[in-house]
Amino acid sequence: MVSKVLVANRGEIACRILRACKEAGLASVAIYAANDANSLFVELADHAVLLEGDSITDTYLNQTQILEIAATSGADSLHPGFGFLSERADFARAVSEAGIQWIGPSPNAIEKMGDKMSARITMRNAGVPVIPGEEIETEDEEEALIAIEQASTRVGYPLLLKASSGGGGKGMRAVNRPEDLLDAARSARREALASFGDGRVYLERLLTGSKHVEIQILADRHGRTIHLGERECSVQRRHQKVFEEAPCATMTEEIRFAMGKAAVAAAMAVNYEGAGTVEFLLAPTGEFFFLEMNTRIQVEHPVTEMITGVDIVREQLRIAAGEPMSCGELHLRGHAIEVRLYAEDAANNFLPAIGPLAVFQPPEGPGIRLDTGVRQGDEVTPNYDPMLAKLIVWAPSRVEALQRMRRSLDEFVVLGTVTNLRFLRELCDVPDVIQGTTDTTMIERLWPEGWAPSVPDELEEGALMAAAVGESAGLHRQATSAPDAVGHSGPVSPFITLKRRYP
Amino acid sequence: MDRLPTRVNRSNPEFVEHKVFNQALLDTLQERLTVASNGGGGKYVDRHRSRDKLLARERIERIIDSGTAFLELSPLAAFELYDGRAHSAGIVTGVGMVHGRECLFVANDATVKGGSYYPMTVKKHIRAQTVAHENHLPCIYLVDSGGAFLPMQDEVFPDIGHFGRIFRNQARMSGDKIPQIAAVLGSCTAGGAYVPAMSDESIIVKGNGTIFLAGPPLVKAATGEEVTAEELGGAEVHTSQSGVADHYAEDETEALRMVRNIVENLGPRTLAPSASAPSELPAHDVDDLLGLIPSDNRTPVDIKEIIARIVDGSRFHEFKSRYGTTLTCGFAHIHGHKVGIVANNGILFSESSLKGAHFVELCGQRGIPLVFLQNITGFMVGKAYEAGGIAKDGAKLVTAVSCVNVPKFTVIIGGSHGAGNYGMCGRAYDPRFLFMWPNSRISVMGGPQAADVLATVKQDQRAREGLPAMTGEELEIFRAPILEKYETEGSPYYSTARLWDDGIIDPRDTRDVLGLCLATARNAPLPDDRFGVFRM
Amino acid sequence: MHHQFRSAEGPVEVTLAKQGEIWHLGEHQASVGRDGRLMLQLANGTSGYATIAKVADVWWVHFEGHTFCLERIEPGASESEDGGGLTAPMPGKVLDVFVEVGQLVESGQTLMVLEAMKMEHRILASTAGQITGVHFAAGEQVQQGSVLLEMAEAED
Repeated sequence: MVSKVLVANRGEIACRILRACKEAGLASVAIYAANDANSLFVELADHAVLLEGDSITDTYLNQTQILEIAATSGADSLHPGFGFLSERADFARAVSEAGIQWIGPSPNAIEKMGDKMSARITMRNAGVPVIPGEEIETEDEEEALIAIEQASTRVGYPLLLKASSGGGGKGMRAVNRPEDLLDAARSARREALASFGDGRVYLERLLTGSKHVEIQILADRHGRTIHLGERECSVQRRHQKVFEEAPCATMTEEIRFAMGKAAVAAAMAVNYEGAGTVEFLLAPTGEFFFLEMNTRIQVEHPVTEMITGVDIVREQLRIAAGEPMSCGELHLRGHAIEVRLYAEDAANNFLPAIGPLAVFQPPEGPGIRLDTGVRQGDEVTPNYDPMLAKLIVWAPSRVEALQRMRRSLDEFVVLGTVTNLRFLRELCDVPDVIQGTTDTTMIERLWPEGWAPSVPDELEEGALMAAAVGESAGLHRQATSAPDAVGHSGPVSPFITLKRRYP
Repeated sequence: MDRLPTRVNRSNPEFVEHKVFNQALLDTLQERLTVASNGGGGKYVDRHRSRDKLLARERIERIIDSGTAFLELSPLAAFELYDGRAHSAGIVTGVGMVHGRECLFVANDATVKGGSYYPMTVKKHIRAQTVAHENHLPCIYLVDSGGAFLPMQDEVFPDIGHFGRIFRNQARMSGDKIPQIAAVLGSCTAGGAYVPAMSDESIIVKGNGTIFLAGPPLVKAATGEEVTAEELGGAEVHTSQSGVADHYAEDETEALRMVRNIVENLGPRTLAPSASAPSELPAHDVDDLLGLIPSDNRTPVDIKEIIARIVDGSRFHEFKSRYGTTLTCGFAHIHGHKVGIVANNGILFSESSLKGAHFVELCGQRGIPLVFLQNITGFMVGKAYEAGGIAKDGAKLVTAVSCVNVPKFTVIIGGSHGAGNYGMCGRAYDPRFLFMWPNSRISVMGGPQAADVLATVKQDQRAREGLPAMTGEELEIFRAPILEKYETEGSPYYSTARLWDDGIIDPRDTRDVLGLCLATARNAPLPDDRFGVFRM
Repeated sequence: MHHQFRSAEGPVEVTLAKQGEIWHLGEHQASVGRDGRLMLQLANGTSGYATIAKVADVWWVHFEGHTFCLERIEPGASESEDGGGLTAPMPGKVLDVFVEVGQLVESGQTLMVLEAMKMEHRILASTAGQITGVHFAAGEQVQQGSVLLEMAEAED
């Protein structure tokens, strides 16, 4: 039964889920920490319950408290959103044991996919390609070198030597040609031994210039497991995705078919249920390798929704209720792009920013979708993730989608808090983005010294003038007179402007 | 106008200490206000509600325009007096807006001893009428009272400031075209019967509302006639036979709605002209006030840091900044109203007094209301100063403050002692409103000084009688009760209990409260000034 | 009208002229729209609406897809001079002396505390410098105008 859904999340994704519940005619319960009392998602829920405690651990990560609220509020199902407790198998298990429907895959599936090593083994057994790599267990120098050489032929070039017990780049060597292998292996082992007292190394294929491509999966309890095509999320900054699109610009029918098949196989290998995402690295050669599986709804799910016409969150609710998924045969239509609007100072090493959203005016027009958890007048605080909104556009072709994204970003007005709007806008003009040849290292490559906006002097002068006119015309002040005593000027009575009781 | 700079260091341990200290004072204030707002509490409230009656504050809430402010006056009147149970002195008074017009409310709280009048109840009622009279505010009386508190009849009945004054005030205000409106929501007995009778327009509610000079028991004792309260003075009798009341309300809700309708049909009002600017929040954080206010009155405060957190945009045009620097004078805006600010920044010298007198006259000349921020231990003493004529210079300030025609508002933000209280527009100088901060102290002099003075007098007396001077413990025993007396009586709660002020406020609300007062004061026209003789 | 702003490159001064409802800055023009936005027409032909908002002292401007932050520098908001000289403002008693001869002090540092008329008065250093003389000790009585301390200003 799914009739009353507790949304164990906050912000934008909580809004997304709560709206889906409303549309589906389901009752909803939000949980919120005290500092979220005025947040949009609290307003969208039928019923909202305050979480006791100050820290995230005491509130949104507090399994005991959330379970108690689920019980007392009479929720029969729980949607974890993404982040927070969404990939905690123990929580999924506790929820199920409390007789509440977990909207997501089984705890077992979460567990299997959560551990990177076991995920790799599971995938290899299911016939899904994983990044080729081998561990050299031998301690003895001569034997080890022989083993490395043999392994290198199986792994393939270029390859990466890593210290088995290492980290932080110590003992890591990139090897492009076989003739460089032995020297690199010796120094890698030497460094590993010096740093970790353990000379064992791990060989892995080095996938330079790869794209991050992921496949959206849906699986129901009626034996149907399908994929909804791919998304490309190569444009990342420090593993944080900023620009996502569907379909992938360089995708071929063959690769999509193979990748989709692999993803479905991956899901079926763990008896997957609900929505999930299988992430791959797509090498320039057309080879692709399993990275990991996200056993939850993904931030960038809207681009898939835009090109498939499937409401993934609605399908999650349906599947959790034991119904078959509603989508029939899928056709990918047009092109969708999503950018993530962050409260961060892109020109200043992307430091998180705070402040009031004095003006928050999203763009409008055809093919535009905004998923957000904030509204004008809200305060951006350092308490949570600085993502303010996801701006998604759809257009019949990739070229038009980029054009629409440029226009939308130009129209988007956010004042009072520094955002990465301009950075996103400039991304749309990067040649790799225009050609669709982005890879995961693009941002670091383009702006190794950090990004700075290029602003025409003339515009800067215009802005200065605007500020000066604003100041001169007193546009920042409140209205001067109200329909108070007729025929008399003077300030508005504070009895009208103040709303409370004194003292 | 230029903005005042700030030099606040929020990590300064002293600042942090003050913040903790003042927060504790505010917590106490909040606690006491909460207790007072429950009126008689418990079973008295239950019984009141069982008669389909709303509490006094709820009644006011129903009448004022929704979403507007209400400024309650002296909610802690009678605090710790009369066994400590006469919360708010059994009467709720304040200023609120009805149909866009500031009105004065006087509402009996029948959950406190049946709404009967203790001495402080009378004083509070009359104070509220004074506020109405000075500011030309329509008066709304929500009557629910058994009349005078008989055990204390000698303190409420015959004198100039006693019960009779209430009705005299109604007649005089009506004469000055200040509307008098009464709604009889409960009993209205004996002298109380005159409140609706003296009003311009009155309402009585069916069932609960009764008006009579003598209740059924007294009638029976006097004439033997047996009647019910309803027959004797109910809504039916007074609206159809006696004509004592004008409007008949089916229930309390209707009565309160009728009050609004009456106010809606008052004649036009004239607001005094006001030099104004668009309202602007202070540029500096108002919360800093708690860290700026010292934990004792000996420590000086930089008054401009305080002003910067009370005035619009923290903007201040200082007058004579280099002369008589222990008194800071200047112009600013509060909620858009232009005001002249006179604020202590140390003790008063001849120069500071002269500067103050000059500035007060200036504001009178320009028709700009005055705000006094009082933190004063007194005028400078000593041979050189007496010879310099500090008494006559102080007198000039007192003359100017007494005679200036513009509305005056006083906030006691620290000490209020000696003639400093007079020069800085204490209660006796008719400020339209006077409020205190929770940290403030008010007494003729500080406790230790009083103890010293009295000890010196005593020692001189002993010397004349040939007794040895008191020393050590003996002296301390002599001083202790004096210190304790001043400690108790200097407290703002002692003051507010006795109506020496209009309430204790959160320092952070000062700008808002003054803004409400300024808007209220505009309802009265400015009289001409007539200054007394300035001794030169 | 004249204003000063702090931009990324430092302080900038702007002097606007107004003719009728039109504001002028050199060849640029602006007018205030009914919704509070500004219609800007720049000398190079660029024109469009700017959305503006003021948060504390900072004007936020959105114009042609760019967002700008310009902090207004308030005119005349200078430090208030206080702390006074190093002489006794009134007769009283020295409560505390916090410095000794030769000591380096910072601007605003408390040097001495006097008590008079039930109030404590702090004698503050008006500039940074070095103490060259201390004329009273705690407990001593001082007359108005007595020189309490002497100090040499730090050179910078």
